Amino acid sequence: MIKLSELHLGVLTALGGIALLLASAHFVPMPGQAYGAGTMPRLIGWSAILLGAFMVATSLRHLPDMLKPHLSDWVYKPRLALAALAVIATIVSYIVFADWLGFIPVSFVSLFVLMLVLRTRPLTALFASAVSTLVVYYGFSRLLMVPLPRSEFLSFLG
Amino acid sequence: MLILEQAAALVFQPYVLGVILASAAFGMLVGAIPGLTATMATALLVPMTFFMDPVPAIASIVTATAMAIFAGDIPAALLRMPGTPANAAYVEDAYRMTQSGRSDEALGAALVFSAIGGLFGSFVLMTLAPALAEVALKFSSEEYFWLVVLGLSCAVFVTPGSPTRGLISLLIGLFVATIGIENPAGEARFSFGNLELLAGVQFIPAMIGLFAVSEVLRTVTATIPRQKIPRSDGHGIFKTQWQNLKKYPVQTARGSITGTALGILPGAGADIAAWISYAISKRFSKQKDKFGKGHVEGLVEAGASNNSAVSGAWIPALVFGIPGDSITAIVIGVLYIKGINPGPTIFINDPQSIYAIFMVFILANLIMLPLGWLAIRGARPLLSIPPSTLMPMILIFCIVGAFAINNSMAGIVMMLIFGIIGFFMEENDIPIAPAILGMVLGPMLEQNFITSMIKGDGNFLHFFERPIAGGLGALTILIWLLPVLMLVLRRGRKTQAIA
Repeated sequence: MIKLSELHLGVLTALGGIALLLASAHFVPMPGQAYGAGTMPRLIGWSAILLGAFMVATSLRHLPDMLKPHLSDWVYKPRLALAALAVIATIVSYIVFADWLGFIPVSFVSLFVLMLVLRTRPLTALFASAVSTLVVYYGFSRLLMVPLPRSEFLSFLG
Repeated sequence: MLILEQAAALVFQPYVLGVILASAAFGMLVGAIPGLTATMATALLVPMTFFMDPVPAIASIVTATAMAIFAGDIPAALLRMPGTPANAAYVEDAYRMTQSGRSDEALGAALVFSAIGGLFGSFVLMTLAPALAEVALKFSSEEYFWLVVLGLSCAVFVTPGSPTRGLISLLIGLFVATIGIENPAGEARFSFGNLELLAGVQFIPAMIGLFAVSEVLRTVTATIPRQKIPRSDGHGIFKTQWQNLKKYPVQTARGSITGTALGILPGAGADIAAWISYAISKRFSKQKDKFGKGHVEGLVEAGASNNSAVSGAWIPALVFGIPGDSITAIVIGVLYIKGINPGPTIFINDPQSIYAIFMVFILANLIMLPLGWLAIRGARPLLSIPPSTLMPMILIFCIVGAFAINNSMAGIVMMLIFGIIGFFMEENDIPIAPAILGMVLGPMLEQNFITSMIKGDGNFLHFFERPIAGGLGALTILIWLLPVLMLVLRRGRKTQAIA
């Protein structure tokens, strides 16, 4: 993950403020009033611009150090970078496949794969992903009556 | 009396007591795992509370947070890894005590003084909240506007780290709160035609993302190796605590009072309370040099302080609808979902629920003693579960929790987005708490600002015309000017010294 300096954050904040002002330009005030849906976003936008400008101004004294963005330590370690990507991939795979394949198979497979990527022993991973899938399934689906995704062609699995 | 009986009937029933016990176990579990905070325990509990009545729902959150903050002391003492940020202040003392064969004394002190602090905070909550609510009934939009601004300002200035980064976090939260149709003009904002966004950002998936998913990401990318867990020294958890209580009564009282006061302050909470109490303890101690080297005094004061802050934070939350910390920020969201609008009228319209909540606070802090004893005894096997196995389990719980709010994948998408935002914020030392307060208080800020401006015909001085509003306004402006005043004072002293 990129680690931004005060200067970068200041520029980003000010740009965010400008974007917010532009995006809220089309809001009109409430009838007969000077205020409306655009009041609050404009206040936030101006605050962001002022804050960004202040951050840029105060960081100019340390300019050479502030120019170069740094990366977190884990980015340089492929195993840890892969672990972060695997966490995100697990959530994305659930969003993409759960409606199609159902909760139990998607949860079990994605947990098992994630545990292996994080270097859990295969047997432990197999046991832990099976137990947690079943506990979450029965807890939410049976006790709390949450309609977890079910697959038509894998309906025997849940 | 009738209200108390009705409140007791709401609490003392097998279902609610069962929920309290289960939540206590859950809080212990989350708090004892290093890195998982009491706020995360709350965020993970919320999907469950969705299916409960208001009293058991709030009872589960109260119990779990109190337990989580105590349980955070277990890995702090055994592994030198504070379970929650609220335990970080005295981690060195607790760990050094373990190294010198006094782990049971350290954990016993953490348990007993947490319970004492929690009980003190609960009594203050019970006495102060109804009295404050009577005053708050006279409040109008101007007073509420300043209270919200005061809360947000404290959140920025009290949060550890740079105030500029705190402000960025606050602006993120306030922006997120503007999304959707819920605004005084009733006009859709920044929803880009998306029906899910029209109702605004779903608060609970966003919380799960910001606290839980970001924490999972942080843990799997951590570069610090795990440590071995020392064996129990068999000295008895409660054995030395009576002596500690007799030796440190002032420290216990001072920690409890400081914690409660800081808990009441919007934006502060248990983490800051523990640090400040530890510093106070060291400042007034006769054995300053022993601090950080395995001395129990700071642990007693800060341990009482962090748990009393948990109760204190509920005072502004219940009386004004303004959260004292990120946990009560989530609680306010839960109360709204349950159809209970926090604010002074809750004490008139729904007194039995309020008194039931007070009873739960007492109960939670009392059952902490036996359950804490069990947790200390059973923590060693739990702490030996490697994060590589535990984090995926937490992740699936997060996914299903985010889904369960609306039974839609949109909740999971929201959770993922906020998880990445939270991780980015943490990696860049941008605190998350101001963003949460911004999300919760944003609509209240906008509503009261626009109402007051319309009432004052666009004149900003109208915000100072009512005496309490004027006082709150002056206090808020003073807090804003404090850093500038400090800078001027420091420069003045430097110039004098040079001359």
